[in-house]
Amino acid sequence: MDAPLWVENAEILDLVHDSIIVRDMGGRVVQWNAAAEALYGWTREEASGRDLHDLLRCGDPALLPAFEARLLAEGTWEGELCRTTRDGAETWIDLRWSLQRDSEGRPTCIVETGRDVTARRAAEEAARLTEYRYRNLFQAMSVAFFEVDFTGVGALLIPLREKGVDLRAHLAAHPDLVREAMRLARVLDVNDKTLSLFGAGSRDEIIGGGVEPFWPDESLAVFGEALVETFEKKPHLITETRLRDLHGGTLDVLFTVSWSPESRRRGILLIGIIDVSDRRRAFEALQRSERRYRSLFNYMPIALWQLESTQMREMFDNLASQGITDLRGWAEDHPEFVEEAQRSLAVTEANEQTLKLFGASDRDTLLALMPSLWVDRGDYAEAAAARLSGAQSYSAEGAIRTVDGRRVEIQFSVAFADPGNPESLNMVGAVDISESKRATAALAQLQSDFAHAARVATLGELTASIAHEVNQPLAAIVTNGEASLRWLTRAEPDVEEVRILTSRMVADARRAADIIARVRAMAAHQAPALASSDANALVEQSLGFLRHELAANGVTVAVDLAPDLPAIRVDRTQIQQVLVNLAINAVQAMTQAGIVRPALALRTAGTDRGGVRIEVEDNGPGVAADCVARLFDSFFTTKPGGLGIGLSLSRSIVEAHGGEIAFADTGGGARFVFTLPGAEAGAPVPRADHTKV
Amino acid sequence: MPGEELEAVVTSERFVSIVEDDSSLREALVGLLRSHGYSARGFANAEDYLAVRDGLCGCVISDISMPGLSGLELSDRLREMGYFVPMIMITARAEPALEQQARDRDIVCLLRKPFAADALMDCVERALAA
Repeated sequence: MDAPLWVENAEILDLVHDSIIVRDMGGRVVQWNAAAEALYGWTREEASGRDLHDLLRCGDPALLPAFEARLLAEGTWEGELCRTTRDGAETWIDLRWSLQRDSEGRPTCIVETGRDVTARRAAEEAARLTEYRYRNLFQAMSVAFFEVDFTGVGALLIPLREKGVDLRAHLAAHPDLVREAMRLARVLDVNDKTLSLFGAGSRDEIIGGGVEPFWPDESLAVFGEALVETFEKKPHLITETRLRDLHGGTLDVLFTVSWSPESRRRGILLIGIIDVSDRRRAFEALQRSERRYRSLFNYMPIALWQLESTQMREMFDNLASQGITDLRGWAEDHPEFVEEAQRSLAVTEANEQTLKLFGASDRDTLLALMPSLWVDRGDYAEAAAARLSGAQSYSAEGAIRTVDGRRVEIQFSVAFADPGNPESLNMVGAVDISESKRATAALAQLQSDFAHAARVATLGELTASIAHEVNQPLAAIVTNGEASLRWLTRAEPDVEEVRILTSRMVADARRAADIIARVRAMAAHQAPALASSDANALVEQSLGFLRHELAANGVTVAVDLAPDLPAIRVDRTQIQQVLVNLAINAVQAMTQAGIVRPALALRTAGTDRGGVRIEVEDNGPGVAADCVARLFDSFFTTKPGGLGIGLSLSRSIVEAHGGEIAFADTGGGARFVFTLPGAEAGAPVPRADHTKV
Repeated sequence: MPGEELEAVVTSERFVSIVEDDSSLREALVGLLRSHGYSARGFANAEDYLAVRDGLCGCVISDISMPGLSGLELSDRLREMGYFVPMIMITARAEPALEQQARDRDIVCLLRKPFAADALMDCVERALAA
């Protein structure tokens, strides 16, 4: 058997870069060069005599018999195998096997040369993946893609460029040339999105043709620019333009052209088109809405301004993280914190009306000054507390200082920014209510005047009774005085008689003075004043006005006063006015109806809610059913010559005190019941100046 | 109790009944008559006077406006009962119609409060002389 030549000169093999392995026909290694040692990690000694395929565990051993068979049949085999090196790494090897034969043609051994192609394979794999991804994107993205061959366009324009023509100006001046370039461009491929966007039934309608059908005249400049930039070798172009689909409909699109260096060489451009019609419509709607908001903001007859409160929010978050929950209390104890928080507010916008409200001539001056002007500390702390408690808005009355130093009373509302939405803003609206406050005060004055006029009118009705009340003690005084003189002018003056009579005169004079004082109080025009009062005393004082009127009309009075009533906080004159009013109404009703034994009952009682109930009941004709509903209306009267303000005024007075008044038909007369809240019941203290008719 | 001003010795010529609901004026009138040497008895209202059926008095001074029967009604009632006692009316009211009503009933005097004591005493003397 001839020993192969190269086996004798094995050292030579070590000079070769490729791994060279010789195996005998049984597959055992007989030769293993240095490159093989480096590639597989096994030394020549370790590899010698081992089965090659066992040693370098093939990734897919099932394939090997086929490869060996091919080798035997054809004498060579080339291919790639995945092998495992000594340290366990899988390595792709590009292999060439050749079968050696002896002089008689018998196979003797197999010579293998191998080269590590792992790195190359990885690069190929990556390239394949990129291609796959590109294809995927090309089809799957909601972008319409055109692959366009611009070779023909190049042929049209490059000669011009070489003649030194300024392409940009030239194309702008020659739209026909742009059109021609469009016709010369060849669409190589499009994706499904292109078909749907441009209304094509199949690829054939687009592929192979030019791009001219898609470009309306108004967009020619965009295409021209794309051409110019292609020659200027820009990496990409992105612009918005308007295209048209195959049916003539217009499309607002984002138009992108990209040139990879390689595709540029081949004259191929990738054009991506994104339909922005929807987005544009939405954007335009947004712009319209923004314009509307602007004009509302600017021209509403209300002062509106925006507050930036991010910094303030942080300050409050800080407090919250320190466990401080009672913000109001905290604000009272730490005025410096409130001032700081208030300073941290920035007014970012303000409308015309705001300028007017603050008496500012220009916006910048106002915006710089405003946070310190617009609200005093108390209002501010309340608003902040409302905001922290999760309210979406806060409204209150407050006051501002104007730029020119006036104080203006305002009604303001704050719509708080949504903490979860960084786009939302704090919006403040305010109206000047100084005028309305003045009007309210004037109205209150008018109402007070009116109540006073009504009292004076009532006193007018009582003139006869009052005269009688005053004349009675005066007559007694005169009589006692005359009698005293008689006793004094006797031969023996009776001093004891005179002493008794004089003390009577003093008592009568006092009584007359009391009556005068009572009438004067009723007739006086005083600002309403609330005082803690006893309801029973008020009833008795009112009877003082009425005693003679009742007597003169033969009315018997039953007074039933509950002991231990809670105190009420009222304007005494006004409540007496109500009582006198109701009683006079009753007397007049009974007299008019010719009631034989007219009787009036006055009762007081406590209420469940800690207040007082007062009843005025008569045995007159009651109130006709069709009049009951209008009983408390202003200027409603059933009395000849009546003004119709008594009951209306009575109701206003009672309600202004936080009470209620109601009428009930007892079946045998009329009963008016009114309630007044107790002074200690925590009921809202009425503002007596709000009496209205 | 009505009639607390009753004198120990009375004669109808010097005895006057006073019907007046206002106690201080009633007492003042009783005092005035006493100072003039008359006996006088006060009643708080017409009903009380009628209840006593006092036949001794020579004249009645009565208020007009009172709870219950008025002075004029008292006058009518006395006439109905056949009791003709001279009457003097005193009133704080100002209506002119009262004059006519008084004349219709043969009232001796109608005095408006406050009145001069001399005027009242003149009336009392005229009434007792009637």
